[in-house]
Amino acid sequence: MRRLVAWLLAGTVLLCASAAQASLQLRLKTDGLSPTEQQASQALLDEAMRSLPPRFVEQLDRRIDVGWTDKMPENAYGQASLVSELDLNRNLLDSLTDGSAATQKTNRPHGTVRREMLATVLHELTHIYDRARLWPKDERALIQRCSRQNNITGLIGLPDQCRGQNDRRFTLSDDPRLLDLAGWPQYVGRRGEREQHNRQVARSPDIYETTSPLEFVAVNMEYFLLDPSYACRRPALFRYYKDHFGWAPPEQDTCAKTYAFLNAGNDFAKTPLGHVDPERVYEIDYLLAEANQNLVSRWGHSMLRLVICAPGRPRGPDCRLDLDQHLVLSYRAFVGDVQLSSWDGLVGKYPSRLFVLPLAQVIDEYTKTELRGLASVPLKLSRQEINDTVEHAAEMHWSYDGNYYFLSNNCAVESLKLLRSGSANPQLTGLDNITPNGLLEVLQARGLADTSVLNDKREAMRLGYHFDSFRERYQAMFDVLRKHLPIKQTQVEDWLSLSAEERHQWFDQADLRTSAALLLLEQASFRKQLMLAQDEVKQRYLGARELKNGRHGETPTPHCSRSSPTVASSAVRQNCWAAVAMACRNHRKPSAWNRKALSARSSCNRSPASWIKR
Amino acid sequence: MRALLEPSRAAEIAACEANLKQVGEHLRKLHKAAGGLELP
Repeated sequence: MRRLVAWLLAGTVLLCASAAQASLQLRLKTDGLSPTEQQASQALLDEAMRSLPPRFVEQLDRRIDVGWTDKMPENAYGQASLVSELDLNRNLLDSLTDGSAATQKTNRPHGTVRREMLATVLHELTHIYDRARLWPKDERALIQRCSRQNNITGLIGLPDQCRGQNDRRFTLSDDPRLLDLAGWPQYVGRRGEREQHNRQVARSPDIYETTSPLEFVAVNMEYFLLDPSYACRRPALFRYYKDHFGWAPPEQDTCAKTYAFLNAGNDFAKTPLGHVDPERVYEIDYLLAEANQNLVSRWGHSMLRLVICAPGRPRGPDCRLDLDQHLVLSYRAFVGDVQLSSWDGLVGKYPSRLFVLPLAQVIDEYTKTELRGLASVPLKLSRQEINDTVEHAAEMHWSYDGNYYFLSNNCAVESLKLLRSGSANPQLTGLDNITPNGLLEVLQARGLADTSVLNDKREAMRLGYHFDSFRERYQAMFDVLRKHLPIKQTQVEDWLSLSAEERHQWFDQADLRTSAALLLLEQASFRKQLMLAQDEVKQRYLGARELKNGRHGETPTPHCSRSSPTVASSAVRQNCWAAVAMACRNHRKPSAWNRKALSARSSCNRSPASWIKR
Repeated sequence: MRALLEPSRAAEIAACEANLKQVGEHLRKLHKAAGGLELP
């Protein structure tokens, strides 16, 4: 009996001991390495181990064999096997051993060759960690519950909380929140399916990250661990990693409290670089340009308005009257863009970028030039959600370069994606809508927007919830004209579409009151002509751009037919064209910082199955 | 900037500007004739 107890005791002690020891180990394959080479390699591995988060080391409890190999393309740094092996390029061993790698510059953000090797080890280990399904307890329970539910009800019956959580296969890279932040947002109307191409391409430390979510997670882990300014560059992703690991590297830069943006206002006296302080943003409004009778404008246009308090004013309802401080976030092709041509919008001819404009300019644009009213409805967001949305908007402003599709990726879809990725409000997760006015209705139905502010039109105009179109005023002016002159037209629009010469012939007959009305209408005609001219310049510029990209009215690939404007084929084209555009972009950029650039360029093969990183 | 426009559009914009100028002058003339207030 005593013997049995002793055995049991010994067994328990052993179990405890092995549990305590269970953690990641990197073992250097020393075969064929000289003692100095071993020493230098071991120092690199030790440094990598010291850089990793404690949770990472603890959870990934396996031994990984690290070796040097010459079976690797010349420009590659390293590669990990699926489970427990990591190979580094033998070409780099000499410079690591003699120390020259520590000073040899690479012209990439990591700086030196040695730093790059360290980043490679961390990158490849992250791939292994990502594949190991090391979810925290709560997340694992959620994934299991959602997968079970999906088996029973299918995607249609899944609650919003489960969207994207069922049948997950990776620790990080298929997490819906990560995909939102990284730039693979939900495709509208497809129950959580993700867009195939990442369009957050304009300011990437390593464009390789946009090839797939797997690479995105690994590349960003390098910077999370090694770049003290990562928290300032990509604050939301920094917080994501920090929350996951419950840890962040101790050495961190101090970030500025405001976000810089390019001031797209037409007041050139203002400095071109503006700053938004999220602490001064009182509310975020859904800003809807109401529909008019143009085909493209029939559904309205969605934007977001930042209600910013004047400096020194405490956050509160008074800030709504600081109109000169307010900014508008609007997805459009160019600064003063007015989207007139529906066909081009349908087939994705327009670029789509996030502009930050002064509110007064947007009001003028819509009410005076396009003759559309604007409704501004406050969104019910928490303080944190407002801060995060402003932060995300700043990031998108600098990094996003998308394509506008009239049906599948229009302003409503873009604004929804911005709100969803920015605020992470769970109410927005399952929200799908492709029309601007429809989106407002759904936001209202979910209790996220309060449209009651619009009920009393007079009061709404007084308090800046509604900005009325100048159409009624122009029509009133036109009625004055008709009273005094025998003009055939009955609607002001018909009058404005006459040529300048046709309008001119009435001038001499006009009395004082009629001339005053004429002056206002002439101003409106002038604005309309400028708008048309702007649109023509845009079409010409984009036409030239298409020509340059080899897309001039022809099919870029056999599958990218341009002939039928159906929704389904539009989606096919979007994917095709995005790929073509990306390929062209990669060709154009001599990517000094892209380790993978050479092979990516030569083959145009962007499938993850091809040689995985470096 | 005007050079970027189609000739017809550029001409229409120029005509609009001329219209604006002319209506403005016409209005001022009528205003003055009616004895309206004039700012120095």
